[in-house]
Amino acid sequence: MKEEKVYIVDYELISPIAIGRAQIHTALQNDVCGESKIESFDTRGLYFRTAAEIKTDLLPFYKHKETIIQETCSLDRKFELTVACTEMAKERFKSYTDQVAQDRKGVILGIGTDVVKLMVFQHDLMDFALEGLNPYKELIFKHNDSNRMLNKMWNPFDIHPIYVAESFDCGAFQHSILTACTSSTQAFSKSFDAIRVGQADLVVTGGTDSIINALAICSFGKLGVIPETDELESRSCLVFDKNRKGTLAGEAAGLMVLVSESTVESQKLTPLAEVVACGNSLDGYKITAPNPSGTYMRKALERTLKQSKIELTDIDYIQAHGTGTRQNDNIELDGISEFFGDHAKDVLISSTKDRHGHAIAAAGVQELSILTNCMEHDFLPSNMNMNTPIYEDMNLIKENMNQHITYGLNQNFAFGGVNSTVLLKNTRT
Amino acid sequence: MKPFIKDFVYVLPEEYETLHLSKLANETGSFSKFTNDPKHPFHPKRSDSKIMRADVIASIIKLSEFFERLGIREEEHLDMSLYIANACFLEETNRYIERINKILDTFTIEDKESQAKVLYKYLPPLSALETLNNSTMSFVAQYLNIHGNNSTYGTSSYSSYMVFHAGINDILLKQANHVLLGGSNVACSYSGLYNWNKFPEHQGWKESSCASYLLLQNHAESALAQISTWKTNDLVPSLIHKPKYPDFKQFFKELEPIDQLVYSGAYQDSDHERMQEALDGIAPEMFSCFDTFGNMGSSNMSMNVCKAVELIQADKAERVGALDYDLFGRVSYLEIQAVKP
Repeated sequence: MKEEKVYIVDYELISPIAIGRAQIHTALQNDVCGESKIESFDTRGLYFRTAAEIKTDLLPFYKHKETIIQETCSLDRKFELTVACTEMAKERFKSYTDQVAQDRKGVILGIGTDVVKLMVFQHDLMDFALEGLNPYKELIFKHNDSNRMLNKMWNPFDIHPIYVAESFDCGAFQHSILTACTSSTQAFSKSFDAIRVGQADLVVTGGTDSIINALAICSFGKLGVIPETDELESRSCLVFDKNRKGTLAGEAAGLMVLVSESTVESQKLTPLAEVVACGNSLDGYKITAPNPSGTYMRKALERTLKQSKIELTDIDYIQAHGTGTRQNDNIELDGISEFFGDHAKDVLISSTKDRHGHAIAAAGVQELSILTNCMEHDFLPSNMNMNTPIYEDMNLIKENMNQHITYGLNQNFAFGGVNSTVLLKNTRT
Repeated sequence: MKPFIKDFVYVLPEEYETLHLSKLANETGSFSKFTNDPKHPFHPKRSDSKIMRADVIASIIKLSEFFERLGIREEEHLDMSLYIANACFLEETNRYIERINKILDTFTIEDKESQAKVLYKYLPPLSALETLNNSTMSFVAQYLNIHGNNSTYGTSSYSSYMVFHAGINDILLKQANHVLLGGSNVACSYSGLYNWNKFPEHQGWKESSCASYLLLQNHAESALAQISTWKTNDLVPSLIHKPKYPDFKQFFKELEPIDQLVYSGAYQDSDHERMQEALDGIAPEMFSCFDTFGNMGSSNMSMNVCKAVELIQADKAERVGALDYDLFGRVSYLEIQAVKP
């Protein structure tokens, strides 16, 4: 079987630091930080007051859509992000997708857990309770009355890839991947496989998530992943710093267009990057913590390198998972150090989560979009809030750099011990 | 190289019943044989089982027995791929609703700060992990020592086909010699609440708990069967319009004749009758998983394939089709063949 090469030809991103691909480079150059006081819900009385929230009103992107789409968007932040990102990308992406037959293009997205905005329905819920009814069930019965495949509240995860598939007429497959912080990295990796094996010529991949709601922020806070912040905090996420306290809650949606080499040739496309290899592994250790030995994090790197057929020393830059949590950052750097050996002191490393926060299921697509953007602009972002690096003998980027990258590696890790890496090659090399 | 099926395992509630879920949904007490037996040699640790759904506990115990029976060597686990389809992340919807009802109590607190503090106190410390989407996969990996390529798919029954899609790709791309794949489903009011408005309410939603897994391998030695064809109807589903009923006869026109068809996808009796009629004549013999088990959600396709292999093993057929039809109109199909000596 001849394996197809795979290329990124376009991407779109809605992030706390950039609304659209065109804004990413300027935001990185200017050290734009998305952290600010949470505005989407009332944080009075909570210990967590800041997050990397997308403040832009997204309604203009979808106000022309059917009422049921608009209503669902108003109640489901993740769906709103998916719809807005798709609508932003639509015209540009269609120039690629329209050239490929329906049964040769698919969608694979990484999606986060659903949360219903209970506070919005406070009065409804109280009324049902006073009538002696089961309030939550009655709420669903009242609002999900559209007789459509889409509910106003509480939808299956499938709605995201189906919305994207409908927008770009993708019939080959529509998959939703649910592996927490590695969801969209794995969606990317499975899209890569689907093209390599010849199941599709084009895949729209990416993901969406938001953890900026009281339930998620308090849940992560109770696990010690998110630090306590007051509303004036603007630089709480100290990635790779000895004094780090936790990550920054975020939200994002991103889409990328992957195509086969034969599609690049037949459509005379100019790819932005080649997808060289992807590697996944499972810690199989504990649901609550990564394996401290980093053995299977390195296994994902090993699988990526083996598939790529390049030398370890060819890798110029690692876009790290770098969450700013006590556990992740140490284990990740130790794993890189052990895997890269002597090259660990040379390979450039940064994480951009201190700028845009942790978008959980959308972390991978946000960071892969940034990595692709950095390759386009010969730019490397610093670990912006790092003052006292965990390790002085590793090349943790302290200041933004203008530098060409040939091979850039992205890695993401998830609760439950899922490790995923992606290796990209700059096509301008 | 088309993938081979080394073996399979499935687990159904011991007191088997399908649940008719409607507005007045009841929870299931399924898999209690597994959850109530902490002394079982493969029962997960208490600290883990506290945040496991019953289908996860049942999966771990059955898969541990399965690996022991097959005598799978430790080194074969390390690079084994693992693909799981999950539908439900809350086992007891009623318990979740009770928590929400507790939140309602705080609505009477006028001071916002005090309200938030009470809410924070109510929140269980491990709630983020309880609802972790990939918990089945991660727990199975932990207890079976699996460290390979992986993913968790959700949520309609189409996800039970997605795991085959991923597993087959791993074999074709030589990324794994062995792939463990399957799905688990908990029958509770979760999917009833998702979907009550899409179907005639008086019939409810007939669903059952199930967990079914298969082990794929890249070689024929000691294999029970082979996956010879995989195909979907290439539908672009819609969120606005209800799907047109698939033309199954057209779908099968391009496929090789089969001896038997194992099928799933119906949600209620009338839907099942319609499916039976539409599939009439596709194969000389038919086996409806819905008729026997009800809808098994994300376990549909893996259970169909388990049944197909059982038929081949019993010499009742040489070539069996496994077909599923999901809520959005997506048809997925796998053809299972006997392994020729």
